[in-house]
Amino acid sequence: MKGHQRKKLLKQNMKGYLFVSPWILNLAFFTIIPIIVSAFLSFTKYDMVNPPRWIGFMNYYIMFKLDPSFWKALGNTLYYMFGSVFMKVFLALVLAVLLNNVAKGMGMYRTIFFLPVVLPAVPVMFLWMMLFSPNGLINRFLALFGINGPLWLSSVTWSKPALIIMSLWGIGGIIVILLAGLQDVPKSIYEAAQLDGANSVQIFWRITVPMVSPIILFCIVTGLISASQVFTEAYIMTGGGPLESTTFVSLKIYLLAFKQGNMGYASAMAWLMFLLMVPLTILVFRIFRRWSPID
Amino acid sequence: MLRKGKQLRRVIVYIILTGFAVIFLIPLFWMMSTSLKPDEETMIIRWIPSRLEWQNYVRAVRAFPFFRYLRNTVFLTVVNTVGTVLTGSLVAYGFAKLRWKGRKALFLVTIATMFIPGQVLIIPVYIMYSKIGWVNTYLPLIVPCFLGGGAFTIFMLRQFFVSLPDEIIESARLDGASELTIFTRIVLPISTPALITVSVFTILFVWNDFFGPLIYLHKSDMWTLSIGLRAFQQRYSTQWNLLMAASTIISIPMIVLYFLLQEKIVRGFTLRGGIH
Repeated sequence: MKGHQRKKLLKQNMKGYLFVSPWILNLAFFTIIPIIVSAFLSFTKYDMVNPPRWIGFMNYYIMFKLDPSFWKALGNTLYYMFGSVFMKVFLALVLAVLLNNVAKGMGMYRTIFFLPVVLPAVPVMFLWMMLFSPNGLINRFLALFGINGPLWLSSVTWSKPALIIMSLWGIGGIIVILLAGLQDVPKSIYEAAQLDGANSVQIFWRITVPMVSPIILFCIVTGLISASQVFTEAYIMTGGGPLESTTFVSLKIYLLAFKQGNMGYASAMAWLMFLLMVPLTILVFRIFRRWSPID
Repeated sequence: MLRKGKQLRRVIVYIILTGFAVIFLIPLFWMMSTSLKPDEETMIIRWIPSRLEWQNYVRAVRAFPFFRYLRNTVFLTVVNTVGTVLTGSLVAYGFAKLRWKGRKALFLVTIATMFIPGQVLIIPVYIMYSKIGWVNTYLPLIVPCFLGGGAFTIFMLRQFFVSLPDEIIESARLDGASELTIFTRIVLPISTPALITVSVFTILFVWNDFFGPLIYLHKSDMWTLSIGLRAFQQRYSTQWNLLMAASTIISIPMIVLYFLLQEKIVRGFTLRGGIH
C-alpha cells in the first residue's frame, strides 16, 4: 500500500516536472547560469578570443578609483531614474484620479493616454528627435510665450530632462494600473469625507494617496528597475552625448562589451548595477507576493 | 450652491483631461502630418500640409529594403508567438493544476526573475550564443520563446488556469484521459481569451524589440524593421517626411492591434500590477 502510494506520488511529480521542463531549461540557461558566469567574469579580463584571465578585484578597483566616466554614467542613470519615475508616477496619479472622477468618456481618455505605450520604440524616438530639434514643434510652442527654447538633445543641461519629458508620453501603463486600484477604493469613504467637509486637495492627500499607496510604491519600484536599464533612448537619440551627459550605465556596458570586447569590465559594471538594484527587487517581490498569494 | 460647485468641478475635470488628451495626441498627429508633407514644408510649422504627399510613403519604402525587413519581422513575430503560447501554456498548466514537489519554490523563483535587471544576464548569454555559433542567426531571439516564453507570460497564464474549476479536470482524469489530452482537449479550448492576451503581448514585444536584434543580427539582410529604420535614419536624417512615413508604417500594425484588442492589452497591464 505504501509502495503503491509512493509510486503514485513519484508519477505525479514526474508529470509536473515534464510540463514545466521547458521553463526549467530557460531558467537554467538564461537566468541562473548567466548570473553565476557574469559574477565570475567580473573578476577576470576577457575579450572572447583569449581565455578569461583572473585579475581579482581589479575591475572593481578600476571602476571605483580610476574611471571617472563610470561615476558620470552612474550619476546620469540615477538622475534619469528618479527624475522620470517620480514625474511619471505623479502625473499618472493625477490623471488617474481625474479619470476616476469622470462619469462619461472615461474609456475614450484612457484609450488616448494608453496609446503611446503600444508604439514601437524606434519610431517614437525619431518622432521626439524631430519635436526636440532646435526649430521643432516644442521650441516653436515655447516661442509663442517669448521663451527662447534650449537646444534640448544637443544641450548638456537639457538632454536628460528632454529624455524625461519624452518618457512621460509613456505613462499609460501606470495610469491603468493606478486606475484599477482607485476603482477598488469604496465610494463610501469619499462620501464620508465630503460630509465631514474635506476639500478635494485634502481628500487627494489624506484618502486617495494612502488608499493606493501600495500600488504607487509598486509603480515606483518597478519603474526604477526598468529605468535603470535605459538604453535605446541614448543609443538612438543622443549617442550618449553631448559631453557624455546621456551616457547611462547600460550604454556604457553595451559599448564595453559589444564594441570594445571588454567583457570582464562590462560584467563588473553590470554586477554593480545589479547589486544596487537588489534591495528594490526584493521590495517589489514582497509587494507583489502580498497581492498575488501563490496558494 | 453646492450643486453648482459640483458641476463647475466636473467641467474643470473635463477641461484638464481634454487638455492632456490633446497634448498626448499632438506628437502622433505631428508624425502623420509630417509624413505627408512635401519636402519644402518639413521644417516649418504647418499642421496640415499644403498638399498631401502620399508619394512619400512610396519613396520611403523604396529607400531601404523595407519588404525584406517586414518579412523578417513578421517571421520572428509569428514564430515567437506560436512558441510562447505553446510552451508557456504548458508550463503554466504545470504550475496551476499539477501537484509536484518544489512547485511553490520554483514559482517564487519565476516571479523573482520578472524583476531582475536584464543587463546582468545579457553578456554571458551573448557569449554562450557566440560560442555555439548562433550569432547572426535568429535562434537567440527564438529559442527562449520555445522554452516557456518568459516569467510574465507564465504568470499571466497561470493566474487564468488557476481560476478554472478543478472538477472538469478531475472527472477527465477519472475517465482515464492522459494529462496531455486533458490539457489540449479541455483546458486549451476554454482558455482562448488568456491565450489571445499572451499572444498580443508577445506580438507587441517582438515587433517593438530593438536590443535583441541589435546585438544578435549583424548581417543587414537579417535585420528587423526597428534596426532597418535606424539605418534608414542614419542615411536620410534630414528628410523628416520620409523618416516619419517609414515610422508611421511601422507603427500602424501596433495601433490597429491596440484598437482591436484594447481591453485585453489594458487588462494584461493591470494584471502586472497585481490587481485582478
